[in-house]
Amino acid sequence: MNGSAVRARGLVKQFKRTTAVAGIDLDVPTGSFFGLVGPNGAGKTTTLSMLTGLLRPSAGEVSILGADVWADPVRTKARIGVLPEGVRLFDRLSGRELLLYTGGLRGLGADAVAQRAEELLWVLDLREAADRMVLDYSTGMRKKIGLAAALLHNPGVLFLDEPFEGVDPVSAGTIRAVMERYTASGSTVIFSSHVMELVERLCDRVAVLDRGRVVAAGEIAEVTDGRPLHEAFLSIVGARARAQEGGLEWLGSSAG
Amino acid sequence: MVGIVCRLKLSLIAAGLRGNPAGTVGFVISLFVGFVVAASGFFVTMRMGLAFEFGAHLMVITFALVALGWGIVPILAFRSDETLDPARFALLPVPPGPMAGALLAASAIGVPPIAFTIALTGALAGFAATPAAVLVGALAIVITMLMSLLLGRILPLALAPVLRGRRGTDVMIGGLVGATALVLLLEWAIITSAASDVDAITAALAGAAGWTPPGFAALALLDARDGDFGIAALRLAVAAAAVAAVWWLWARMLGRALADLRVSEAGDMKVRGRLGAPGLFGLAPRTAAVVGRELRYQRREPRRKAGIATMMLLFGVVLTMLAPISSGELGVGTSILVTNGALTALTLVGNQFGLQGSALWSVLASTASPRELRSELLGASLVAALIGTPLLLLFAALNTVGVAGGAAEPEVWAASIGSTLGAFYLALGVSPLISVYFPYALPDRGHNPFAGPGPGRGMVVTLTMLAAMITVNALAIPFYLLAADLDAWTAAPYALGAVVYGLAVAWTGISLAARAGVPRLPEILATVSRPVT
Repeated sequence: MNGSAVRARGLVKQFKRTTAVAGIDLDVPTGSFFGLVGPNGAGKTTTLSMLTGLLRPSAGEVSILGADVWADPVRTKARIGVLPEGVRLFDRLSGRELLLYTGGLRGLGADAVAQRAEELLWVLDLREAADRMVLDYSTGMRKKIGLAAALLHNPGVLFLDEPFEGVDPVSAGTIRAVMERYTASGSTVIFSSHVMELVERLCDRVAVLDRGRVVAAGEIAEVTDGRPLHEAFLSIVGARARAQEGGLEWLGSSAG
Repeated sequence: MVGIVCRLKLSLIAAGLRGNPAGTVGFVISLFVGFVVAASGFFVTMRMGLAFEFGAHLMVITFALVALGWGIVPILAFRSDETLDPARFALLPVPPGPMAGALLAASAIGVPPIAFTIALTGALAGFAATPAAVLVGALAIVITMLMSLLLGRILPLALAPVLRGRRGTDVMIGGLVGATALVLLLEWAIITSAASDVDAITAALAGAAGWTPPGFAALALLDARDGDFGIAALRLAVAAAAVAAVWWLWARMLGRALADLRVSEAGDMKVRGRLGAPGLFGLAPRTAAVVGRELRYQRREPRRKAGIATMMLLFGVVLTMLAPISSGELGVGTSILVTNGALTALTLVGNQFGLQGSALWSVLASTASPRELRSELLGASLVAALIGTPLLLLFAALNTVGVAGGAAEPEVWAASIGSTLGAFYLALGVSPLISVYFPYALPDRGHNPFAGPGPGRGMVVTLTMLAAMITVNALAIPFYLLAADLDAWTAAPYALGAVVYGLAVAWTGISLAARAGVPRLPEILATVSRPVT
């Protein structure tokens, strides 16, 4: 591994009175498969948005493959692929149209785009649905077509926000296989997830976020210290299981 | 239920204003405008009471016009009141009837309904002398306002499924063109038959307006003034029955719309692939990609189709307004032609990032330089021009024939075409700038593509549009100066010059907006992807 694919220093995001991200330092080595985990509201999406130039940080610096995201957007945007949370796409285009459009937007030649699009549609098992509007796709299909659009220009670093959320096991397997093949060639993947088993199996490095801060980061083995990631995560963020305590006596005993 | 829903609307309005200085300023201005409308309306309707038969006719026309305006304006201005998204109530164990009643009561809360109610109350002061007549008048006003609120909600709801379908839009546009032609013909007939007699025209219009439910209610007030309480009660009952029928229809349509929230009529139908027209027109690949996307969106997205429907309605209204006032004289209608051209552009691309919503991130992820953003803005403007130009040419032709009859001189044609298209292109230059500086989020409503910009935002959007209109009109000063003095020799140069000038401004506006927009893109994305309640 030579140098950082992504390097963030003192990243802060303030929304009026709330602090979503309270000073994050991250180093993602080139060629790594990097997992970003944390409870809901920990700041994962905000962090990924700031890393990819979609959300302006209140403070801090980000560089991707040596170029500053906010000072040199032309270079960085050409080298990254993004699959944001919720995957809001131009969903009144068909899957194939969306890929051809994205290729045009990325300035790729028409023939190259057409060829890449067909291969991606085939690998991601979307060929049958390629001529239907993305609007009519299931969640798994939307994630897959979003992934295809993010990969089309062969980026050096791929950012995925919750790529497995709401996705059935078959589609999740397809997405995983594509991601693994992509990192095997030396490219970098950074993704956020709630699914600890998946993060543990796929990633070589992980960062745990809680309340806008990195509370643990490093190689998986360092962070888990021999425990399953799931357990390590709960002990790091401090599980708050109020449901086992008092209250809710009225729940479940009868209707009304 | 009514109380809860009304309180909910009040707290939504308050929440829309909290921490939003622009929204607060907008709300204060709308309060002021509401006050002016209420006060002047009250005074005018009161004065009608002094003008005997003529005033009575005007009062009946006013009642009908208020209801008609409430029905049409939400479609024309994309301001259907959807502060309370009916879909949010679909899971509650409340039957559609009471739900519709509560929603209707909630839609009476707001500056415009209150202002118009006060304005109509002037009729009580002007026409009702006895307590009984006041009671009849008050009921007539309530009936008229209920009808207004109902029409304002039922028309967008009725149009929505048409807009979701593929062919429906074409049918509707054809229908609007036909309706406009019919109104024009009717207007022509009225003008030619009784051109000079204002009293006769008013009486004829009042006769027609008197057959609408609000007109019927207004007539009841006149009967009560004359002491015919039996007839007054009968008229009120009929008008109230009409309101009840529309209410029942609305409740049913609402229930059906909410239980049938298909997003696309196409369902799983296949759409044809091969995006874009790269190479065609010699466009850069990026611009061609945007053109391809926008062309498909115009065909497939209800909101865009709603925009085209709005344009057609606007054309109809403008045409019917222009024919009588310009009476064939050159230059008289220039301001209306300019306004029409400008509104067309603003409707199509006045908030282009808002139309993309949160999908804008994918543009942002690949846009880093002004050149790249220019492709985006240029692509959208090209498609707007592709749609707007032929429609405006048709409009200009209809206008020329409407104003000057079949044998129009070349200068009439040139004034009409040049001013309309020129202003359209001028506004295509202003639109990207307001898209960049004043973007706003649009609510995502499967059942109502006309839903407005959310609580507390309406006035800000109106002010932005107003500023854009002033800018276009300032840029159009050459049209105002030249259009009136055209002759056979200057006609063609004027039309050509106006178009070239407009295109030059459009290109300049797009370039300026691209340069200003790139550093603002993250903020624009944050603004337009914020969910609208």
